[in-house]
Formats: sequence, structure tokens, C-alpha cells
Amino acid sequence: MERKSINQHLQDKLDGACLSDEQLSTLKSLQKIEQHNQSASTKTGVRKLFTLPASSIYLNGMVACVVFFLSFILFAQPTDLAEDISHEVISNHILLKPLEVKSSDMGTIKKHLVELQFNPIVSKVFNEMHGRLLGGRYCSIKRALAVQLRYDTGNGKSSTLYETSYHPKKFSFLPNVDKGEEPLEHQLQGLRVRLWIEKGLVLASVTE
Amino acid sequence: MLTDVDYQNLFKYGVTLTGNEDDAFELLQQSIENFIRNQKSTVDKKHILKPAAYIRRSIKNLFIDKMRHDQKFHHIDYDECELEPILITEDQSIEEILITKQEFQSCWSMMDVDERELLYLFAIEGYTVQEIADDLGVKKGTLLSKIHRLKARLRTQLELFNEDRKAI
Repeated sequence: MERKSINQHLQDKLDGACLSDEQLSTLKSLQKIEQHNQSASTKTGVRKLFTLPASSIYLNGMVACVVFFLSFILFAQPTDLAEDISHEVISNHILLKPLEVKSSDMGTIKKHLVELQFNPIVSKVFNEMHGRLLGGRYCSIKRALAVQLRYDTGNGKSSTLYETSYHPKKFSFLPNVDKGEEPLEHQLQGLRVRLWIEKGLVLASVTE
Repeated sequence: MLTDVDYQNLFKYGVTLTGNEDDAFELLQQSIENFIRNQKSTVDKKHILKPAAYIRRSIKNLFIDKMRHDQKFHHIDYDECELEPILITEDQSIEEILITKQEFQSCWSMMDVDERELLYLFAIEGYTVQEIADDLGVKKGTLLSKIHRLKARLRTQLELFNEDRKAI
């Protein structure tokens, strides 16, 4: 048998390990998505305000700006937060990270994703019309642990459903379908995003 | 920011650590996300000047975190190599050890994360010992003693492997 140096063996071993064109384009698109998310998230923050010059010349202007921005934030936050969540789930949808559990059975998915601190539900809003369940993986929505459920809708398209625990401070602005309210809907980056509360959970769906 | 070759090499680095392409891709994605997120906020601009090195470090840290979470990781710090004084020469090349594919697989399976990373930097990135020491932020002497010990362990492993084969 041929003898080679360890370096050559490692080179041979890794020669076969290459990113596919699809994976490569996913990674390249990451930067654009992240930059978009960053610009969206700064809309709700007041951090930029503190980067203004602190000299006395600007003091009066700053006070006026603070008052203006605080009032703006108070009124504008829910809309921007909904947009932030939408961008976050779209980012998760586009990235198509590997599924932690591949199964069309919700029970099997629940059994594997043991770290979730809630019981994933079969949504009446996002029903089986959205295709065949492919599996699930952990993800996060506004830093809260969430589950992504992926559906194959045919023709090479997929849709994703996200579920996470309901935190009143973060998500109280979302419509509750159990109270007869309609899900909040956005069209962003060519995708349809819906957000709502159902059975005490926060749900978001992305469809192509 | 990164060239196609950088992406491919970082992926190979992930495969070197994890041994699994799916895991490697996931680690690479997370690391690029971390890099982009920290690009503007980080104080240490040195890392940002070398995005590939920054992302590689992130891949390793995420991998170690995952191993710790799965309780599969036992880390031996580079500094521990300096506890026993040994005679180290500049010529600590691993290239001189010629082995078969089967022997390589046997040796590979017993290597820890740091050793795999070391071989990756030699074989794929083509770094010198000094460049690896700079990249990892360790002293050159520390690295040389690490390589010396790795070679000794490889020789022992090869002897054991060949003895087992003879016994069969």
C-alpha cells in the first residue's frame, strides 16, 4: 500500500470536502441579510443618540431629540419589532440550516427537541395546506429559544413555521387568533411573513 | 470580504474539526454571522483585518462549546506542554513520517482538536511553525514541543496499530 506523509493524507481526505454552489451562495448572501437586520434593529434603538457630540452647543438639540425619539419609539416600537422579527425569520428561512430532526411526525420532532421550554403545537392558522412536514430544528426569535418547522410545498419550494414562548413584554402587540384577531402580515424580500399568537405561543410563518 | 477559496478552506477546517460536513457547514454559517455582527462593535481591530483567521477561531470556539455541552471535550492547554523540559530543535517536521491510508485513519481518530488544527494549518494553509504560532497566539517553543510530542505519540500509535495487524 502506498505510503504518504500525514499532510498528504489530510489533503487527500479534505479534497472531497467542498461547499456546493448552493451552500456557497447561501454563505455569500449572509452578509447582505445580516446588514439588513442590523439596519432594521437600529431603528428601534436609542444607541445612536448617544454618539452625538456632547458639547453644550448641542445640549438643547439633544434634549429635543431625546424627547422626539422617545415618543417616536413609544409609538413606533411594535411595528418595528414586528419587522425585526420578520427579518429574523426570513433570515432563518433563507439559510436553510440542517434540520436537527427529520420527520413528518410532530410527535417525533417534539421527542427530539427536548430543550424547548414549551410544547410545540399544530397550528390551525398554518395548516397542512402548507405542504409536507420535513422536520425541525432549534433557532431563536428575539433571543428566545424557538423551533423552526420546515414544510415542503412542492416545486422545489418550502415554507417554514416558527414557534416560541410568549413573553408579554416582547410580544404583547401581536394579534391573538384565539381572540378572533387576524395574523399580522408582511411582504418582505419576496416572501410572505405572518405573525400571531396562538394557544399561548408566538408563531411566525414564512411562505414563498 | 472572503474569496471562494477562503470559504472552501474554512469549510475544510470545519470538516477537520468535526469530521462531518453538515456540522462543518453549520459552524461556518454561525461563525460568519458572528463575524459580521461583531465587525463593527469589536474593539480588537487586528482580528477584523484577517477575517478568515477570525472566522476560523470562531469555528473552533463554537466547536469546543458544543463538545463541552455534549461532555466530549477534554482540553489540554498549550501551556501545559511546557511543564516537562525537552530538547526541541527547529526541525520538527511531521512530513517525514510516511504512513499508509489505514495508518493515517488510525492516527487521525486519536488526535485531539488542537492536533487536528495544527495539521490543517500545515497541510492546507501551508503555514510555517512561526506562522502557526503567530496565528494561535502561542510561543514558537511551545508549539515545537507540541509537535515533538505529537510525533512521539504518532510513532507509538503506529507501532500499536501494526502490532494489532500482525496479531490478526
